[in-house]
Order: sequence, then C-alpha cells, then structure tokens
Amino acid sequence: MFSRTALSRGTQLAARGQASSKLAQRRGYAAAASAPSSFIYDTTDVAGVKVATRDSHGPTTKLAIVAKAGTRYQPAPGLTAALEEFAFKNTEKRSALRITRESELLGGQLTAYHTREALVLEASFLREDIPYFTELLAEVISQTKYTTYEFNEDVERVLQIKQARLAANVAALALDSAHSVAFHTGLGAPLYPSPSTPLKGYVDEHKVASFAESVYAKSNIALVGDGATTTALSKWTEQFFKSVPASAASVNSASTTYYGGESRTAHKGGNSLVIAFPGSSFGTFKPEVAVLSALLGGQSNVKWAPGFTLLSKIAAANPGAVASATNLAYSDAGLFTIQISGAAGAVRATSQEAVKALKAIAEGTVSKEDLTKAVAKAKFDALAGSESGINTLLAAGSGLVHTGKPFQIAETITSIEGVTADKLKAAAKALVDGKASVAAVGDLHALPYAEELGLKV
Amino acid sequence: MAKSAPGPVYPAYKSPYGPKYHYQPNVAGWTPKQLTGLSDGVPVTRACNRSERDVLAPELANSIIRYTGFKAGAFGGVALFAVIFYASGIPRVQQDILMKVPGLRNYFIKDVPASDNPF
Repeated sequence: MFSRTALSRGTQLAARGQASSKLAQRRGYAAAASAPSSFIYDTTDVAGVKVATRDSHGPTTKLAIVAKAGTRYQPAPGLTAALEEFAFKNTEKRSALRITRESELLGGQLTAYHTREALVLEASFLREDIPYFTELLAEVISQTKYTTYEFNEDVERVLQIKQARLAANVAALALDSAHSVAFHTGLGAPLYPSPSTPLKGYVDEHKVASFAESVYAKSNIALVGDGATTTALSKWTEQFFKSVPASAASVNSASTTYYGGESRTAHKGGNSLVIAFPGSSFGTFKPEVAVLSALLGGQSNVKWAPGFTLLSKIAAANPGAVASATNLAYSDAGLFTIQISGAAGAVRATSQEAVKALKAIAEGTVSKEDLTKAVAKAKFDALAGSESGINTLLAAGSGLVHTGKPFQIAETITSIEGVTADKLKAAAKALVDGKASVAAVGDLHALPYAEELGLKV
Repeated sequence: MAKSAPGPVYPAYKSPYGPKYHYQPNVAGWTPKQLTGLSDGVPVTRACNRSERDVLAPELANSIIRYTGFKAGAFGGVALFAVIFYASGIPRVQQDILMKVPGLRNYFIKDVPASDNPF
C-alpha cells in the first residue's frame, strides 16, 4: 500500500490542492464582479453583414444566420414556418441531396428553427470546416430554388404534420392565445399555425420565394459564430456573402403595443391557463421582472423535489397542476407569463392562489430569505443562459439585427443584484394594477374568468 | 444522352472546401475489391437495396457478403469437380467432357475388352 509511487503521488496531489485553492480564492474575487470575458460577443461589419463572434477555443463551431423573419414579420400566416422548412433544400448550384451528404461526410449538423422574432439557420461543425459551411449558409439564403415539387412533397406535407401535432398541446395553444390577446398583430401572431388555420391562399412556393427575397438581405440578417475567431469568420464572410442582396423591401416592423384582454377556448385534450403581464424586453431590461419570475419560480432546481418557490408550494398544495413563471423577452416588448397546466380543478385552484401570491408581493410581504433566493436564481439563470445553448445565440443575433448590438445577457448581472424589496414591490404593484392578458384553454366550465381571479382586463 | 463519367447530367457544384470524396466504380453496388474477394466490405448500394437484404437473417446476410469473389469461385470450382467426379462413370460424360480435357484422355481409353476386364 505504501509504495513509492503512491506516496509521491499523494504529496503531488496535496501540493496541487494547495495551489488550486489559492487559485480559487483569487478567481473568486473576479467572478463576483462581472461575467467572464469569453461570454461577450465581438461585433464587426463585414461586407455589409453584421457579424458577432465569440471564441471559447473549443473544437466545434456553431454558426447561425439570424434573420428578422419571425412570425412577427410575416405578411401572411404560415410563411415563416414554410420558409423554415425550405432551408437546405435545392439551390441553384447544388441539390439538397448533395448538401446533406457532404455535410454528413464532414460530421456537421444543419438545423433551422424560428421564434416570434427571428428565423435561424444554424450549422454546427468542427472548426476546420468553417469555409464550407459559411459558403453553404450564404448559398441557402440567396440561391434556394423553392421548387414546386419540393413544396408539395416536403414542405406542405411536413407543415400539415406539425400543425396536427400542435392540436393536442394545450399549453402551446394557451401561450399563443395569450400573445395574441396581449399584442394583437405582430408579436401576437401564433408561433406555429394551428390545425384550424387556413393556409391555402397564403402559402405557396411563389409567396415563400418572394418572402425570402424580402427577408434574406444584408440589412436584415446577422451572422453569429460561437467558437469561431473574428478573423477567420470575417475572411470567409467577405468572400461568400457578396452575392446576398443588399437591402430588403420593407417588412412590416411596426413597434409593439401592449393591449391586454381575455381569451377562452374550449378543448378536450387538457387544461392550461396563462396569465400574462407586460414584461422586460431586450431593449429595456427590467431586473425586477427577472427577480419576480425567479421568486414565483415553479421549476425546481433539484430533481424529484418540487422546490420551495412560491408557485412550487402552491402547485404542491394542489396536486394535478404544474405552474411556472417565465419572462419571454422580445426586442421591444416582453411578456411576463405565469403558465399553469393540468387537471381542470387543480388549475383553477392554482391560478387563484398564484394571483393571490402576486398580490401579496405587490403589498410587500416577501421575506428576506425569499428575496435572496430569487436574486441568486435570477443571476444564475442569466449566467447559465449566456454560457451555451440556444438563448445566447438568439439573444446575440436577434439583438444585433434589431438594435445593432447583441444583447449580452451576462451584463445584466449588476442590475439584478441591485434589486431591493421596495423595487420588487413597486414592480409587482404596477403589474397587478395594469391590464393583464389571460388565456384559458380546456374545460371552460371549470377554468376561471380573469375577473374571478381578481385581475383587470 | 449517354455520359462516360458517373454523376448527374446537370451541372453540379462541388465546393473546394467540402469533403474530398471520389466516385467508386461499381456493378450493381459491388466494387472490384468485393468482386475479387480480396477484402470484405459492404456493397455500395446496400443502403438502397434494403428490401432484399432485410428478408435474410443478419448472420446469413453477412456470410453471403463475405463469400464473394475468389472465395465463391473456389467453392464453385470444388463443387464442379465433385459433380464431374461423381458422374465420371457415365460413358457419355467420359466421351464428351473428360476425354476433351488435355491430360485425362489416356485414362479413359479402354484397350482391354469388357469380357477380360476385372473392373
């Protein structure tokens, strides 16, 4: 047991342990102040295209084109979804089969998705393949053919399947209803066309092609590279993005107004109630809303334990319902939502308790411990969100394309730390006194009206 | 319009930054390496011809792929020899096949008449 190597290794580890603890102490002071510099995106303008990069020095790169082509900007329903389906299909130069096979040979992954404000074409690949995928993304934007047979066989067929999938998802339907009631047009358009949305006169390959022409232009897109150096990406962008048209025809970009109201839909497949208020946006970040959503919470940090946030405690008292509070941030508006789903009776009880809890926060009865917990959770969510994943890419790209600079989530830490109980009380009071947006989907006999909950619509 | 080189008839763009791959000449999915049996491999069009291969059990299908080329030829050769050897007693086979083989002619010429022959 006491061999020479064991002893020497032990002393080595002990010495290393001392050194790392010293290092941790030093690092501790730095971490409290601000986010690490590797989280921040650098922006440049290359050949008319806005480019944001950040280099984590890992072996893979994620490159995305974020276009201002979300459901907010579509001139007719279903166009954003159809344009997303047309990504990586036949182009003037090569076929979809060639694109797929060559990407597979390189080990790259191609995906396209959309949110309410942005349409994202994303490619993840090994670092050394960056010229191939930059060329591919530029080609997909400017030279896709939008053929009729692809529309009939691939796009329309998949669109109908995805619409049908939405039929049973009451939570998504309720969230869409809440948005439409809160914002009417623009941000109020449903994220995905529901099964009963007529698409016949609105979507065909020519309309998708003209929507693409208006939306895929240099002034309307941003190129975001996570894991790529600025010099490398700029070089290839300059070479390949020359052929992208320079400026877009005007897309309907009216600024968002918050209306508020109520919507009730009967549905047999479940129950969901969404209570929404104007929240914090990328343009005007309101740290009180972030802390409020962390305070109400609902999602647990420990698996199989419901947690002790306000909504978790309420949901635990009413078994059969799950509740969570999230702030959905967009470029010029935000929606602070409390989403409750489950059995009808439990949803009713949970929603009444949730509004009571919100009103209690507006009165100022929030304990110091809860406030500390909420501030810590809000900080962690912001930092974890900016580390990796979809949020950071969307925030950078969407911010860049809407406001000219990427929204650096990690920079909001200092304002979150400065939230006090009074600020939180004032923010909650403003929400409760203003107009709410309530959307109920499910068994309408059981689900309450907004007025029954005590909210103004 | 007949083409000598493989690939699509319409102009197709191969990116200089893409993966470097080349066309493998093949006959119905079998490459020369597999036909000669010098190395075991999956036929080029295996993924496309799944319907035929799925009917067989995996082990059987695997073994059919392994015994291609020279190996199949070797088994075939031995089987042919066995059949002809078994049938070599038939006079018709002796006259038409075996006496035509260069070195075997002398073995099948019968000088001793059948009445004096113990065999």
